Amino acid sequence: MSLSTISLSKNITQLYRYKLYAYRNSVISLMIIQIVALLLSLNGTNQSMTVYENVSITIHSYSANIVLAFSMIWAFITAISLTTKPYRDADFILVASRLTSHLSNILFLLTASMIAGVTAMLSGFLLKLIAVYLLSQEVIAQQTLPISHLLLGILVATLYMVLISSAGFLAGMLTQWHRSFIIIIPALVMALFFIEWTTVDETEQTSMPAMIALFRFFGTEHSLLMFTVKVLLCVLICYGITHYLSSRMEVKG
Amino acid sequence: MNVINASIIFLITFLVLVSVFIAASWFRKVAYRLPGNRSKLYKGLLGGYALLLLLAVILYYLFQPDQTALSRSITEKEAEQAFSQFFEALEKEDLNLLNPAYIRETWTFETEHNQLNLISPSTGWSDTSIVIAQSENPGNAIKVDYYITPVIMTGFEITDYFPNPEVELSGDTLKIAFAEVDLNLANLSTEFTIRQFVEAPQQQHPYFYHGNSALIIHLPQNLNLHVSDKLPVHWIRKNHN
Repeated sequence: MSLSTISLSKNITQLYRYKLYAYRNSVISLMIIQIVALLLSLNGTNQSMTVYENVSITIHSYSANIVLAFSMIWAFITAISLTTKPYRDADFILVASRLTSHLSNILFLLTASMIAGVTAMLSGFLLKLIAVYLLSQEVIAQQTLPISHLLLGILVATLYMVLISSAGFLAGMLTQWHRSFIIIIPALVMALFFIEWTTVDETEQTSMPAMIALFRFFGTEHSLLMFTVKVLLCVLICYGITHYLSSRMEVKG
Repeated sequence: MNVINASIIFLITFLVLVSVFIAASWFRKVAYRLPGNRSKLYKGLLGGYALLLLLAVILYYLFQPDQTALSRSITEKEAEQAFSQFFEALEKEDLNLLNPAYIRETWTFETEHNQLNLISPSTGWSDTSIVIAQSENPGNAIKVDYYITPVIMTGFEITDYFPNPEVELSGDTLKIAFAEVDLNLANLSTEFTIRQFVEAPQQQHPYFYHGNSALIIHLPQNLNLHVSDKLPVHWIRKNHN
């Protein structure tokens, strides 16, 4: 029996610092994934081509969109890996309860999301410089990016990463809670592409696959405040369910 | 979009996502297999990457890439108007209906011959119409106008990237040739995380408009024209200056 007690915040801080150190390799994997995404973006994140007369014109659009998408997948996988048994058991090397382990995981995922969001957005500048100065492409259009827009982009990218990582954390915890979710979750994701979702606005009624409706729920929100509220609500729900599930799982002996 | 197309798109998207997922997992495993006692190596790699990204931001703001100046900014409606104007002029045989602002280049030649051969050594297919406008007045001057209406691609006007054709009079032969050009242009766009909040929804509609181009050859009355079989020409015999 331990004679000394440790405060909740100190315990979480210790676990968080331990995770930052122990999982530092995951940042290396983020770097590798972003470099691969950058290489794949060298021909443009999208292209449009026309042939008129004897003139063939191709417009390559350069942005960090592919890097952002790859980073989101990385955030999803990183979150899932935190819920696996070896990672969960590693927490109990230090003094930890389900609650402190859970909260330190959330803090770690928030940090990882921030790193992914910032680096993904900054990589766009590297890509654009390579396109113009190394690939010597003539620039048909460029939107001057004020610092305020860059900061906005970083914030939104981070929020997307936080959202995706919380979804990954929930998916991982569900599969740990019951193995059948290994089949159910991918099946559910596929089913969402086929389930019709009908939205009714002021003028018309539109039907679309539920997955598209889910993307539009976040992707077509033009108010930053509403977007942040939507993301935070979803994140809270995901982490709430995850905490509930983890507290009902068998206790480490 | 029919069911087969939708299924193929879905399948491709699914396969791409699965591939990226597997690749990302593999990279994670590779990273975790790296020796754990090389903290200096990790710090060096991460620090180097962070420094590279920061340097890219600084360089980008210091040496902002120059945007190729687009001489005109045109709306979809104006492009459509210019396009239909051309066909109207051909149909009504009235070159006065054409907008003179779209005449980019003019060549004038003097000839002493009674006959003119029109040839094009270009082997490829050309979209440029050849319009022959024969005057009711005698003379020995041949005037050639290169007329091109705006070409819009994904919302950008790219007309200025089209080179002028080569027009040359040699004896009694007028040669026209179109240069082959392969252009790669860069559009440095903003990321979706910024576009979602900054751009107005109507600006997100990139439209495409194929313009039309023509070589308008003004001939005096007394000059007989012989055109190579492979060159389709439109004749205008009235209402032109």
